[in-house]
Amino acid sequence: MRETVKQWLVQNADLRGLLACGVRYPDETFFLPSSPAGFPRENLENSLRCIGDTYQVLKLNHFPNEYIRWIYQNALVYCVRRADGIFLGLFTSREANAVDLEGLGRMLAEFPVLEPSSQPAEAPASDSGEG
Amino acid sequence: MPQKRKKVLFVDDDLSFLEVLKNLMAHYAEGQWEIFTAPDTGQALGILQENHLDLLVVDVHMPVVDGLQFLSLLQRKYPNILKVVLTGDASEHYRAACLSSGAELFLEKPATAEGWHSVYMALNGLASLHPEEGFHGVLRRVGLQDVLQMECLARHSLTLEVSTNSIQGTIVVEEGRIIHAEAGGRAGETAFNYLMSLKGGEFSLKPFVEPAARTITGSWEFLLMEAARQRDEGREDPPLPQADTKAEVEKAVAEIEIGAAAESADSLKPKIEEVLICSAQGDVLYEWQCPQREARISFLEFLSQKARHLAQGLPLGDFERLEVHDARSRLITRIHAHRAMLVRTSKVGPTPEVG
Repeated sequence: MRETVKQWLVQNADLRGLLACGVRYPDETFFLPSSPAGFPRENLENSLRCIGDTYQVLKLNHFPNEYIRWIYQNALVYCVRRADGIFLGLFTSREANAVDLEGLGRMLAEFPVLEPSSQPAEAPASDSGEG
Repeated sequence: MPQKRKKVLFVDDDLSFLEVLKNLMAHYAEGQWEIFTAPDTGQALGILQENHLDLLVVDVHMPVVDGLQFLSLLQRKYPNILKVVLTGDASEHYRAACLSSGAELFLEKPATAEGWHSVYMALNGLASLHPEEGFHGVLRRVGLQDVLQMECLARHSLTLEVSTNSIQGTIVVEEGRIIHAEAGGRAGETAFNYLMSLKGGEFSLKPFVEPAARTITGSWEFLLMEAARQRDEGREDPPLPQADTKAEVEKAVAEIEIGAAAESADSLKPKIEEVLICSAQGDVLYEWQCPQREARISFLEFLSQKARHLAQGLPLGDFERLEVHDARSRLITRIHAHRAMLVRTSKVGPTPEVG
């Protein structure tokens, strides 16, 4: 499943208005297709860790815990979690006009139902973006 | 410029483990950490008061005050200190409870040298993400009860002055024992319970001064429990919302309705299940159908901290609100410098909202 998620995210990472993105696996490792300017890898990993903590605490409180949207002054962070525990974090511009909302909605809808590909192709370890 | 040494405190009731841990971490840190250890929460609080710590690592299973309770206390008094749980009990439920109580990381005690090095790396990485001082968006909840509990645990001696618009009072603590209280014409436990039941006002810590009379002899644990019981029994219905509070609730409900409408033209109008608004001190300003108020306030505290840490080092700006939903329900929380709000609704459609 990891490979399917990686490939899917790499294919979709150039969405208009998407500032940064990444996934976190249940074993607490990450995949970040890139770390754009202003979004250092270590800080993105820290953000995904915080999102993972939030999912756990939402569950503990019996709150809904599928889709999360964090609203900040300059950006939005969309999160969606799959049934297998992998979750996606999408950092977008706060400006609605700057973001491909249709594409964003499609990504959020597709991620939870991604199926493992039949012939996964391993990415080279050196530039895999995994951590 | 040389990097500042990180101050790290380990709290564990196993003295021999603490010694081994200190040596191991000092070896890995190569002089970059100043390491403190404490075998109990009382000593830990003393170290906290005297040192500006970067990181605190605590075991969750300790006698008297367990780690979970200790975390909650620390979260209220020292919200900016990064807290980590290092334990042998790594169950998922306990992990979530610790995270909810303010822990940044929940680590299992490893069995191998590689595992301990990983623990060091995780702690060092976390310490390097130390939050900026003075962030104003953190929801703090330091109440009179919390302060007294902390001071008694640390076996301090002090005078606590409490004042409201209409009354002034004093609670005197000597080496962790509450020995006197007075408020208006009251003295002793009556005055203590009265002061602990006040819903507003201010308090300040002053040096210990021998009181004219010692009017209290009971244990501080019993006194605080009894005061809490009396406060709960005397609790009045929550006040009706003020105009600005009403407006805040209406705004949140409108957002929920707009969100639901954007999802599907067929969506039922959302049904509000609960509403809670509290001050930055954790006082409930308004609640509706919110039976688990303490748990909700703890959640808002957790969120306040987590939203800040999530944005650490990223150009996101100040946190405004969080929206969560699944096929059946929706939750909106707002956190401002002075108040926090939580609204939960049910019967919302399943499609994710964007925009």
